Amino acid sequence: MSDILKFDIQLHRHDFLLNVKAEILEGITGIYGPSGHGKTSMLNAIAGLIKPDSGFISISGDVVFDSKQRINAPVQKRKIGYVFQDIRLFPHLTVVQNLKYGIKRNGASKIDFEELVGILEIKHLLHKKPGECSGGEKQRISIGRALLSGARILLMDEPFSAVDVQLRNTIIPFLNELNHHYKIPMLVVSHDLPDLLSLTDRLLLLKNGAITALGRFQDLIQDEKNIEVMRDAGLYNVFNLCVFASLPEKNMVLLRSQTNDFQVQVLTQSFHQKIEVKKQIKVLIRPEDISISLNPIDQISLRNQIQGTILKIFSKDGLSFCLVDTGEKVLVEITEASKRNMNLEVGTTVYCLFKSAALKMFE
Amino acid sequence: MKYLIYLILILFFFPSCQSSKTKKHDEVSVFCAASLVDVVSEISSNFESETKSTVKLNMASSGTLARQIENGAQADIFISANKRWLDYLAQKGKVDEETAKRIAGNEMVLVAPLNSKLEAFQFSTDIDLLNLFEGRLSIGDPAHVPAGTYAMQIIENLHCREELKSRFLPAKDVRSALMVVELGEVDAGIVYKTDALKSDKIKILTEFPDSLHQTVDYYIALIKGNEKERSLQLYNYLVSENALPVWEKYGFKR
Amino acid sequence: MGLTELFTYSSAELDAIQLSLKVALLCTIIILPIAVLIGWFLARKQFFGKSIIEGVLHLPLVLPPVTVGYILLITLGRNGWLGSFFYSHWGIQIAFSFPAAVIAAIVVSFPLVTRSIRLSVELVDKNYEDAARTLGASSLRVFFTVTLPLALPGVISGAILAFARSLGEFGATISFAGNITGETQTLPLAIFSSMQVPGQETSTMRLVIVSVILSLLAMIGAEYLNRRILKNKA
Repeated sequence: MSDILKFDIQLHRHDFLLNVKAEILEGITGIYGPSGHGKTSMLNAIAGLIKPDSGFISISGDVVFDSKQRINAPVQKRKIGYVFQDIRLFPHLTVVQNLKYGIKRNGASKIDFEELVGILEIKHLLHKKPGECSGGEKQRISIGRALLSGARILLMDEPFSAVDVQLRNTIIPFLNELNHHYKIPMLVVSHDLPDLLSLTDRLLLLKNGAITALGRFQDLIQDEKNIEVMRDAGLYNVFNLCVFASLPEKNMVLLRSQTNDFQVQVLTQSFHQKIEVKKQIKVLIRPEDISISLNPIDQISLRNQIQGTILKIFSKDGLSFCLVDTGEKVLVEITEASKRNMNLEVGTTVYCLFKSAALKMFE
Repeated sequence: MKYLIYLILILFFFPSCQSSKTKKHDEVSVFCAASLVDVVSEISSNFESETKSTVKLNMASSGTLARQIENGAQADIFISANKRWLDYLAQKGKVDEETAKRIAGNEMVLVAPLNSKLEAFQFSTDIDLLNLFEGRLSIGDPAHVPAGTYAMQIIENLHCREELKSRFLPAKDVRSALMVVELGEVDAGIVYKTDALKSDKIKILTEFPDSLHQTVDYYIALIKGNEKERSLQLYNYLVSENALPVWEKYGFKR
Repeated sequence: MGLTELFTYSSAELDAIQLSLKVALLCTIIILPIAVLIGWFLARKQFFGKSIIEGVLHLPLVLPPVTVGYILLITLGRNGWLGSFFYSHWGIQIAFSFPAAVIAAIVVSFPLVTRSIRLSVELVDKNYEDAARTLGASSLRVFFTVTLPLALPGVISGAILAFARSLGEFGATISFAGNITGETQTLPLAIFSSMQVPGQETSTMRLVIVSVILSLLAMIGAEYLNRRILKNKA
C-alpha cells in the first residue's frame, strides 16, 4: 500500500509542544487522544491553516511543507478535504451551491454529483439554505462538499461530537460507504474511542502532543502503555467477523472470524438489516463485560463461552487486564483479587464468558 | 468632582454677570462691506483707543448684510458698497434716512495672478476681453455682491456678457474673488482697485473707466431701533476729516 | 408665498437638484470599490504604521469641511504641489469644476464608508474563509464569494452614508469647487446663495423642500435595503 500522507512536524502550542511523525496509508485511520492534546492542531497543520515551526509534510508524494527547503504550499493548493467540527457551511449559499463550491470551473469533479447526493441522502435539501437543515444533515453536506472539491484525503475533526447524542452513530454507515465506494483515505480525529473503533481498526494515539502508538487496535491493546492512554475513553474489543449461519430454532445468528476459529452467537433481534451469510460485521465488547472461568460452565444462561490461552496479564489499581488468545486476541478486565484467587498466569487455559446482549454490532 | 463642576458653571456665567446695560452702551456694532475691512478696522481701532469703547465689526457682502439686518441682526451702523442695498433697507424702514450719505468711492480693475504672462496695458474701448485670457473670470456673485454687480455692468457695456456667462466664477464676497486670483486658479478677475493694491500676489492689468459702470459709491447710515450716543459718535468719526487720511491711505476716493 | 410659486422651479434650481444627484451618485460609485479594498485591508492585515494611516484616513471626518476644501485647494489647485503637475503636463485644471465637486464629496465621505465596511469585514467569521480555502479557493475568490457577501450589510450602509453625506456636503464643495451655477452649484450651495440675497425666500423654501425630500428618500431606501439583506441572510 502506498502512503497517502507522510509527515514529521513540530509546532509550539500554548501549553505543549506538538511533535508528531507518521505515515498514513489508504483506508480510514483514526486519531485518538484526549481533548486539547493537539489533534485539531495536527489537522490544521496538515491542511496548511497553521504553519509548523519545523518539519515536513507530503501528500501522495507531493511535498507541501518542508521547513528546510522553505516550501510551504498554500491551503488552496493542497487538495485536502477538511470536514470541520463546527461544519462551516456557507450561510449565504444554498446547499447545492455549498456542495459545488470546491468544483473548479473548468474541471469536472472526479466524483459523480448525483451519485454522492444519493449516498449521503441529501437530495431533498439541495435548494435549501444551511440554516434550514438539521445538524446531521449539515454534517453530511459538509462531507459531500469536501469530497466534491477533489480532495486526495479527507480530514475529519470530531465528526461524532457535532451531532446530538441519539444521532451520532448515524454518520458511521455513511462514512463506511464513502470509504468503500470512493476509496478515499480518511483521517478521523475523535476523543470518542468506541465511535472511532466502529469505523476503523487503524489508530494513531496522541497524548500531550506526541504520537504514542500507531497501528491496528488489536495490536495496540497488547501494550499496557496504550491501554493507559485509551482507558479514559472506555476500552473496547474489536472483532472483524462475518455471518456464518443463522440458527432460527435458537433465535441466534452465528458470527465467525474469517481467519481463525473465533466465533460468537448473537440474538437475531440485534440485527437491524437483513441477515446474509458472508456479510461482514464489526463486533465490539467491553473488557469489563467479559468474565473468566477456568472451566466451561453448563448450567448458566451465558451463550458465549470461548476457550483461549492467557498471553499477557498486567495489573493496575486493583484491576487486572488479561489478553487471551482465542484465535482473536481478547482483552478481559477482572479484579486483581479474582486473578489471584484463580491463580491466573501466562499460559493458563481459560474460558471467556459473556452475554450476547453485551455485544455491539456494526454492519 | 462635584466642586469642579460648580466651578466650571460659575466661570461660564460670570461674564454675563457684568452689568449688561453699561456694556451695551459702550459697544458699537458695524456691518460693513467686505472690501472695507482694513480701512474700517483701522479707523475703528483709533476710535476705540480715543473713546475707550468697543467696536464690533461684521464683514460680508453688502447684500448678505442687508439680509441679516432685515432679519433682525443687531447692527448700529451699516456701510454698503452700493446704494441699492441701502435703499433696500430704507424701504423696509430699517434705516435712519437722515443719516444716509455717501462716504467713499472706488474704482474697478482687471487683475491677474502675479506670475501671469499677461502684461499691464492702457485701457481702450476696443479691448477684447473674451480672448484676452483663457478659463474663468473671478467676480463677486452679482446677486448679492456689489463688486459683482459693477463687474456685470462693465461686461454688459463691453458687449460680451453672453459669451462670458459660462466662464464666471462667482464668489461670496469680493475678498474671496480676490483670493481665487491670488491662488492662480483663474487667469483673471474683476475686483476693486483698493483690494488689488493691497495684494502682492496679483498684478493690475488695467483700470476700467467709470463710464462703463455705475460709480462705485459706498453709503453709510445709522440703523433704526437701538439709537445710542456711541453709534452717532462713531458715525461722525468715520465721515470726519480726521478719518480722511486713513481712507486715502487704502486708496479710497472721498 | 403662493402655493404654485412653491412648486415652480427655475432652471437654475433644477440644475442644482440635478447636479446634487449626479455628484452624490458618482461619489458613491467611485468610493465603493476603493473603500471596500481599503476597509478589507485594514480589517485583515497588520502592518507597520497602520495607526498613522488610520489617523490620516479619519481626518476628513473630524476636520471642518471648509478646512478640507482649503487643503484640497492648495494640493490640487493649479499652483498646488499635486495640481500643478496635472496642469503643466496635461493642462488639466481640477479646482472649480464639476470633478472638483465630486472629489470634495469623495474626500469627506471616505472615512465614513471605510469605517462601516471595515467593521463589517471584521465581523465576518474567519472560519468561513478558512473553509473556503480548504476547498481550493484562491484569496481573491474567497474575498468575492465569502467575505464580501457576508459583509454586504456594512457595504450597503456605507454606500448610503456616502450618498447622504455628499447630498449635504457644503464647506469643502464651496471652497474647492466654487459656486458655479450649472456646474458646481449643488443643492446646499444653491440654498446658501439664495439665503444671501434679500427677497429670495420663496426660492430658498423651494430648494429646502427638495433637500428634505431627497434626504428622506435616501434614508427610506436605506432602511428598505437593509431589511432585504437581513431577510436574505436568515
